[in-house]
Amino acid sequence: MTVYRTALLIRLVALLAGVGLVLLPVHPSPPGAIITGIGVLAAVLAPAQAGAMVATAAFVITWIAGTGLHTTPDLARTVLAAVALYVLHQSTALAAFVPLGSAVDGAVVRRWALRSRIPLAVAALVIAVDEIVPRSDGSALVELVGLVGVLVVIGVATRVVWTSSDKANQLE
Amino acid sequence: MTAHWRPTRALLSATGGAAALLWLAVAAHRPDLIVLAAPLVAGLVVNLARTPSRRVSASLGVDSSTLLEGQETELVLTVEAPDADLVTSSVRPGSWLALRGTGVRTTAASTSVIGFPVHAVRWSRTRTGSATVLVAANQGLFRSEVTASGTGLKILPLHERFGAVDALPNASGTVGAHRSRRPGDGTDLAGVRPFAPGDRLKRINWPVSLRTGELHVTATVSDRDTVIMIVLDSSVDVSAAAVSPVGGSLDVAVHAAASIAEHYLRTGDRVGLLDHARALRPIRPAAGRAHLDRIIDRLLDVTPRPGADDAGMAPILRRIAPHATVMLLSPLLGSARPERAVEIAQSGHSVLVVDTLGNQAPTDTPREWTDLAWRLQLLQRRADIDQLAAHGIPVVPWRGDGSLDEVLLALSRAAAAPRLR
Repeated sequence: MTVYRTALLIRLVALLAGVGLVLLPVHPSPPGAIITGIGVLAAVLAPAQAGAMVATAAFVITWIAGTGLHTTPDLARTVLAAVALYVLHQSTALAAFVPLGSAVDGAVVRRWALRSRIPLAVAALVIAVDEIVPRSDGSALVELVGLVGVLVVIGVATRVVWTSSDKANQLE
Repeated sequence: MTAHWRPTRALLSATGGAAALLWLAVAAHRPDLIVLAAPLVAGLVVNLARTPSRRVSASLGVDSSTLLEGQETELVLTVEAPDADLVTSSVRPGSWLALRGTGVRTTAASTSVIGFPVHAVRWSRTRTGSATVLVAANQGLFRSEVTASGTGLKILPLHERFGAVDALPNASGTVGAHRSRRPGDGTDLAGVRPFAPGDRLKRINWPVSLRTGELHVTATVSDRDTVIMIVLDSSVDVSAAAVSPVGGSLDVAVHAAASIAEHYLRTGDRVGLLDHARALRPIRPAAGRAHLDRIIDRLLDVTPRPGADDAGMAPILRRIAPHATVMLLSPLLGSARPERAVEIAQSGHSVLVVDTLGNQAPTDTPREWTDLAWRLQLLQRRADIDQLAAHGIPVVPWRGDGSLDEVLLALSRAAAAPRLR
């Protein structure tokens, strides 16, 4: 079977993102890192299977366990981890539709990457808001309302960006 | 074929991951988990804003439903997937069709016509193949899979360039391109004889008449057509697994039959076909271009049938082509016994055995006794050919153009010789 470069490249991106997920948690525990690594490998080798799910679960547990329940890692590390997690999901989802022996049009990866920028842009906005808004401890109800508020903000922002992006695509 | 959309594991993973992160963010008072979840949530919102609804359809076609061996064409896959982000198409060509390049392509267009170049490897009646189309929508959160099956396809044996002398032992009919043994209005000189009542004046040979003082005429033999009956011995196929321009012995036989039929039909003769494995379904001798198509169409159905009922062919041949020249295409090996040729010859037909074995050898995995068994087979074959020669049946290996000339001339001479009873 001829392996095509683009199909391999997509898996390589997934692998790099997965390596990021293994390395980024503060004080990563060996079992957590191993399970994350296994999940990443499974996601790269069989992207249509549940590897990405295993890697995500293992990463989240390792991330929380690494810092303890009430300590927050620094923002740069967190943003990098968020990007790595998202890239792993996106590249695995794409790889699931691109077999290694497939000749891939350049437009496929281009369009996929362009569409992925929108969630990243929205996420950047949310992260900025999250950092700017002063923190205060409150009741669980208030936090839940805050969370719903965040989701609404994400939804509205996404919708606005999506609509404008759609219009731009149509004009093209 | 059309298909619906289904969620993928990526959707499950993103939804589960985002929900878990958000819940943990609230439960553990960890805003960093919201940061981790943010791209996943945003991705879900973007991609779930509109779910795919229109069905995916695909169809597989081909430029031409009839190909020649070695001819190239394109399997054309048409995909309609209006909501798709990408379309991955995998084509599996039918038997005896070979892909040129990859059979898997991923395209971004939602409506696409994708051509997969293929070439025809060997004569057969086959199908174009099938295609599986995998479509992703909403950044891989939904998938749809549809299978398209192809249509029937005929790959015709590529006729080798073949020619043969016009001498045939049994010319018959009323008009044609072959010399007969009967005197008549033909073009070939039979001799000069004294004038007799009924002779045409234009036939008078004046130089001879002046020299001898008596009227003499130039006698000619009539031109007649002939009946060629091609008998294909498909009871054995040596090297059947070989997929190459020169295939097994049956492949050689089919090519030879197509070439012989084309040659004699082009010269206006009548040609029939009898497949040993389907002795009860012969093609009766006839002439014309349409008849060539009929013969080639029947040749596509030829398959090796070792266990086929060995019906006596002589009675069938006597019934369908009493004065035919029979060309038996056989590897003369294994169950392809020479007795068939003897039986046909004894029924009064002129028989020519065309040896289709060539340099073929079995392609099975060699075992301890394979070589010895093969040598024994060849010895038996040599003895069979000698036995045929003793019965006056020539055996000639098939080498394409002109390979039958010498034997046909010898057969004609033998047929013209006076018979002792």
